[in-house]
Amino acid sequence: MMNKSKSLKTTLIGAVLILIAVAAVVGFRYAKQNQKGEASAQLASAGKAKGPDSAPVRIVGFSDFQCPACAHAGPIVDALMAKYPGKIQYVYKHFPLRMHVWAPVAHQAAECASVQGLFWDYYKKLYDNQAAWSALPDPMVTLVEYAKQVGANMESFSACMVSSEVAAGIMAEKKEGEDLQVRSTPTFFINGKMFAGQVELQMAGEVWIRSLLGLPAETSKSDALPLTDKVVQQA
Amino acid sequence: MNLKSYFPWLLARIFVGSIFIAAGFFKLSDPIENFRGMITAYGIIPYVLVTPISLTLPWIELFAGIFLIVGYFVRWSAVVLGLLSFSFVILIGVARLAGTLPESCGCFGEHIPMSPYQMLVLDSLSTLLAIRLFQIKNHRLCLA
Repeated sequence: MMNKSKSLKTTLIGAVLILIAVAAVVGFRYAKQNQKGEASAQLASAGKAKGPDSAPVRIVGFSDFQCPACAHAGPIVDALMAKYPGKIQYVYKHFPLRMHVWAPVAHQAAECASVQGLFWDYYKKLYDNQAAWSALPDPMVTLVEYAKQVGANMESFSACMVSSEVAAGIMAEKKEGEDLQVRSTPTFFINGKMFAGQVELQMAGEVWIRSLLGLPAETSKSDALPLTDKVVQQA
Repeated sequence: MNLKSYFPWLLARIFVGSIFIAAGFFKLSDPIENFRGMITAYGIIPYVLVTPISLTLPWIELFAGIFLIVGYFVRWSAVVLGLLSFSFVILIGVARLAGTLPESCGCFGEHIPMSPYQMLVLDSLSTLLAIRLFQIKNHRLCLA
């Protein structure tokens, strides 16, 4: 009788502890969910886009120019766009991470190229040469050189590089991501559904895209996107 | 063991338990997609395991962390947390050898950014403390 009562008490204590923990998590998530609802509406705003506005699938990617995983995510996005021509629009959003010391200046340079309609050329320059410029003690000269190489008007570019408004715009995009609970880069939203990391984009993301397009799930691996050589660092 | 001599081990319970409560809670408070992204970032865990791990691991961390601190099946909570800590040590080591180590460990869902190497130290310490907590037969200040 004594043992039974002790066992019941032990079970009850465990149940109460679990209940309190679950309630704390659910309550916290509920509070954050309300913030997410407000942020989702803002995501429809224009950004740096490629692909038709009328595309049924819209991928919004929060990326950091100094993040190695983001450099590897670009070819995956391109492969998806090539595989489903005219069906996907890709929108790039700035998300410079604190851990990357040259990310703010690289994002500012990309935004300044974007003002001149050269965003994707500059984007390619930054990601193709990421290992080189991000390892420099000060990559400013190199970033300016890239701007020349993509054909930017250097007077406008230089003025833009010191613009606090441009810097504020970049941080506003980052805040938009933070409100959507983006914690790492690259993070993608495909028609509003979140996929963190390039592996998730490639694996679960494509499955989601096919379902949005009303296509059957792929059964043969021969149709699958070319895999990257290896999974790389995610920031 | 009297209460005074047990005091360091109470601190050890709070230390290890707090790490795992924070780890579990931060992961659970974010969308599960963030944790899925971090698991896949290590590049060595089979993709088929991503969903079960992302669904269960944060809850195990949270519950076992709470149990350890409040003294609910302390020894078994220590076993669970010790095994988790040790498995993270192995994970970081294997990912390092495979060249797929992420820049951030993702252990606290990015709320507390820590490099995998910082986490390696923390997990090694947690493993050792958990082993010692399991070895202690009569814990003090326990609920059950």
